[in-house]
Amino acid sequence: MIRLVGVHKTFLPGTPDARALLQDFNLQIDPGEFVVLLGANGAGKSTLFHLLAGTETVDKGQIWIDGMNVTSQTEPQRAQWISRVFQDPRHGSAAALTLEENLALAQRRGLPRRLRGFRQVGGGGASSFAPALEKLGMGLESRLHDPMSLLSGGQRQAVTLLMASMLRPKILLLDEHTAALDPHAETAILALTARTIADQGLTALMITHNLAHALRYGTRLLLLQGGKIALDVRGKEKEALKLEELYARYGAEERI
Amino acid sequence: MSLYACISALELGIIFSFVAIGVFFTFRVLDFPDLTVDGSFPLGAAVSAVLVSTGWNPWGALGLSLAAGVCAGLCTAWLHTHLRVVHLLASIVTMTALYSLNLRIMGRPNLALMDQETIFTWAARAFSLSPGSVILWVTGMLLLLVGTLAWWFLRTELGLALRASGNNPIMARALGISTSGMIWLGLGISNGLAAFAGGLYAQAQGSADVGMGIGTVVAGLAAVIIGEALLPTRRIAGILLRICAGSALYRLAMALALSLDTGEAWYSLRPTDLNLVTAGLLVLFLALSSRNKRRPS
Repeated sequence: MIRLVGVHKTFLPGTPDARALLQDFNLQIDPGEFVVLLGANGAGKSTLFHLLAGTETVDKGQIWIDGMNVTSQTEPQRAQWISRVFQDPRHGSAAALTLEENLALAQRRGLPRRLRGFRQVGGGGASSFAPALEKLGMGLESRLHDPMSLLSGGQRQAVTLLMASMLRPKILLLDEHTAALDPHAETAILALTARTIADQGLTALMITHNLAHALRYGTRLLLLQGGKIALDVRGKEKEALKLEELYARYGAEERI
Repeated sequence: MSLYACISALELGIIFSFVAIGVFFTFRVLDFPDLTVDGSFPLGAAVSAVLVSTGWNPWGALGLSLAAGVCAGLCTAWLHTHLRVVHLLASIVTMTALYSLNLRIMGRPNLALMDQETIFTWAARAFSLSPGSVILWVTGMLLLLVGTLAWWFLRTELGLALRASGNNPIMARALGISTSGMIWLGLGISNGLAAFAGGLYAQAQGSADVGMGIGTVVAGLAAVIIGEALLPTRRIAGILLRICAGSALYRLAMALALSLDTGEAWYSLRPTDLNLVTAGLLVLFLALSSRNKRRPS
C-alpha cells in the first residue's frame, strides 16, 4: 500500500544547521496493516508523516501509494488517498463551522468542490450524518448545528476520526492523536480508532509515545532511531514483545 | 437632518454594502486582511466613468468595472500565493500600483460625467422612476441580487471550502482544499464587488476621483463590525443582512455628524473630519464587540 524508496530528507539544507533526518530510507507497508510508529523526539516520525501527506517534499527518492507514484503530488492532491487526525484537536476541524458543515466538508475529501448546496452532498443532508454520529455514543447526533468550538477535545477528536474515515482512505495517518486528551477520552478515542480501522480494514499509521499503547494496538510496530528503522516487528513477534524490552530498545541511542 | 441628506446617506449605504460584503469575504471568511479594495473601488469608478463618458453602454461599463476589480484582487492573490509576500503587504503593493493605474485610466485626477447615459438615467426612463428615487431603486435591486448570490454561494460546497480554508487552513489542505486557490477566489470576489461599487458610485454621483478610494476598507469594515454589534447570529443570511444594515447605519451616522450645526467653532465637524469620525466609530464598536464575546479559536 505504501512504499518509500531511497527517501532523503534534510532540513535547512546548505546551512550550518543542516540536519539529515532521513537518509536512503526504505519502507514497505502492506494493505490492511496497522502500524504503530515509535521513536524519540527527532527520530523522524513526524517527518515521515509530513512526507507521506505531502506537507513536505522529499529531497530524493520516491513515494508510492497503492501502486501510484505520488512523489510530486501536492498535499491537497494526495488528500483523496490519505486522511489524517492531528495531535491538536483544533487542527482536525473548523471551529467556526457547525458539526454538519465539517462533516459535509469531509464528505468531499479530495474531490472537486462544486457549486451545489453542501446539504445536497449526502442526499439526506444533516440526517444522513446522524447514524454515524450515534455510533460514537456521545450524543453528538443532536448537535449537528452547533459550532465545533463548543465541543470538547475528545468529542472533536472523535469527529475528526469520523471525518477521516468517511470516504474510505487508502491510508489513515494518526499523529499522536490522543496526546492532548484526558485519560478517559484517550481510552475512548483509542478504542474508537482500533474499531474504525478493524471495521473498514484500513491501512493505518499511528505515532505514539505511549509504549503500552504501542504494544496493545496495531499489527506491526516500527521503532525509529536517528532516521533509521531500529526495530520492525509484526504479528506473533509483536505480541511477544515485552514493555521492559521495548523500553530498553527505545532509549538505546539517546542514553548518554 | 434633511430628507435629502437622509436619502443620499442611504444611497451611499447601499453602494458601500457591496464593498462591505467584499470586505466580509476577505477579512472574515478568508481571514485575509486585504487593503486592495482602497484601490479597486476607485479602479471600478475610473473604468465606469471613462467608458460611460465615451458613450459606452453603462451596464457594459459596470461589468468591466467588476472585471477590472477581479483582476486587481487576483494580482494581490498572486503576490501572496506565488511570491509569498505577506498578505497585508501584498495588498498594499497592489493598492499603490492601482493609484497610478487609475490616473492612467482616467488621464486626469478627476472626471465628471455630463449628460451621458448611466444605468440610472436608463432605469429612470425604462421604469419611469423619479430622478430622486431611481438610485435607491436600482442600487437596492442590485444589492438584493448580489446578496442573494453571496448567500447561495457561501452554502455551496465551494463556498463551504472557502469558509473552511479561512477558518482552518491546516484542515482545509488535509481535506484536499487548495488554500491558495481559495485565496484567489476570495480576493477575486471581494475586489470585484468593491470595483462594482466604485462603478455604481461613479455613475450615481456622475464623477470619479483618483482620491476617492481612501478609507474604502475602513468603511467596509465599519459596516461589518457595526453589523456584528447589531445582531448576533451565525446564519449566513443574517450575517449578510446585518452587514447591509451596518453600512446604512454607518452612513446615516456620518450624515448626522455632519449635519450638526455647531457654527464656526474649532471643534465643529467638517467634511474633512469624516475619517476621524469613522476611526472613532470603529474603535467604539470594536470595543463593544470584544466585550460581548470571546472569539473561539
